[in-house]
Amino acid sequence: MIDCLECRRRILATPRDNDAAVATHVADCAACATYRGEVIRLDLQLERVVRVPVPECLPARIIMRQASQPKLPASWAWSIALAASLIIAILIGREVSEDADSAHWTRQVVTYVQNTELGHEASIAPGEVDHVLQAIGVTLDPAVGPVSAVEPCVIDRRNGAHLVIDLEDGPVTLLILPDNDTPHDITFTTTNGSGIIAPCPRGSIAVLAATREQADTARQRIERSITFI
Amino acid sequence: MWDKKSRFTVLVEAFNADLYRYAIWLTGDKHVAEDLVQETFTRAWRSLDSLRDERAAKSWLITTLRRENARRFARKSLDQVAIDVDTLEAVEAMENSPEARALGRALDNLSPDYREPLLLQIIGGFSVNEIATEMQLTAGAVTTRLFRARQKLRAVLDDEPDSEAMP
Repeated sequence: MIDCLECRRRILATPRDNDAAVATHVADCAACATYRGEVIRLDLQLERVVRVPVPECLPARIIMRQASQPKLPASWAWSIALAASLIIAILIGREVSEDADSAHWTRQVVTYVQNTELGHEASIAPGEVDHVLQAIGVTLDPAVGPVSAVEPCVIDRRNGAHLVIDLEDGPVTLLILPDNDTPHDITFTTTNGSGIIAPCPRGSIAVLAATREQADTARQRIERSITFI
Repeated sequence: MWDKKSRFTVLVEAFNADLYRYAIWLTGDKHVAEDLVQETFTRAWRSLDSLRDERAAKSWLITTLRRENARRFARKSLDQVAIDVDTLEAVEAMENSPEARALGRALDNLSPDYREPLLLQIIGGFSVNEIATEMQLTAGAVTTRLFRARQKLRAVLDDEPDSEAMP
């Protein structure tokens, strides 16, 4: 037979366990029976409180991220990269102007985006984004959205920045390339989604999202947030 | 026999919400929580073949998430942070009673030593022994933490001093 102290200790630890000793005690002790009822009520309330809203698209994002993971051993990576580049080149050939420089440039950007996956940090250290962007003479208004990855990048021997921004409808890859000019918008398709390379006041940006529509929306949002110093 | 993708999809659909909720109360930040959940499932995909019993899936995923969270702290030397205002507001929007609001804040204010076993019990549905295994504690230590956690929450709700004295 347990006393009130032990009974309440057990109730607080595991309120809904079918503990025979607790059951026997509360059958004879009205105060502990009331106490048990109160703790169970607290638990039910706790269950409701912890049920914070879950982003609707979370399962889709998880599955999309898994699908974008490398599936073959590293020894295959170069073959795959080469094949991807060829496919991209064909896709680009269908979608963009015949301008040779633009096509070359686009291939460089798309190949980079296709083959470079940033280490997805759980959180970016304060100032890390500013630090990377300052090096290429750019600022980005934090209102654009949470940046989940950022790294300097070099494309066609010119410096840029590679970011992943988590927008409401999914993650968007952004390349800021202040030293790479593009004369007009160039759209492209990769196995990871659709993208656009767009001219900026200085250089260009490349935006890759799951769909063309998302890329266009993200591009407008980024253009409003970016400043070339 | 399901293929790997089907197994994975079922796991994602079954457990993403619980993992996200656990992560958000663990980290206090919805973006970090989502990253943690995504990274957890990425790792789960890589080692899915090692999951022999689907009944152990939830525990397996929680263990992975906790390890990922520990790595996050190891990388960044992060301080514990309070749950973000948006999340608390979302809780408050769902739970209009002043008591529920107070409970949300009291849970947020619990030290991680007390909050985590309670979350494993409430969200994960884990037994004392399962929590003990997960947290590498004795069953007695888990019982004490659960007991103290609820005692502290009751003290806040009752607006009583946080005392262990029994009537």
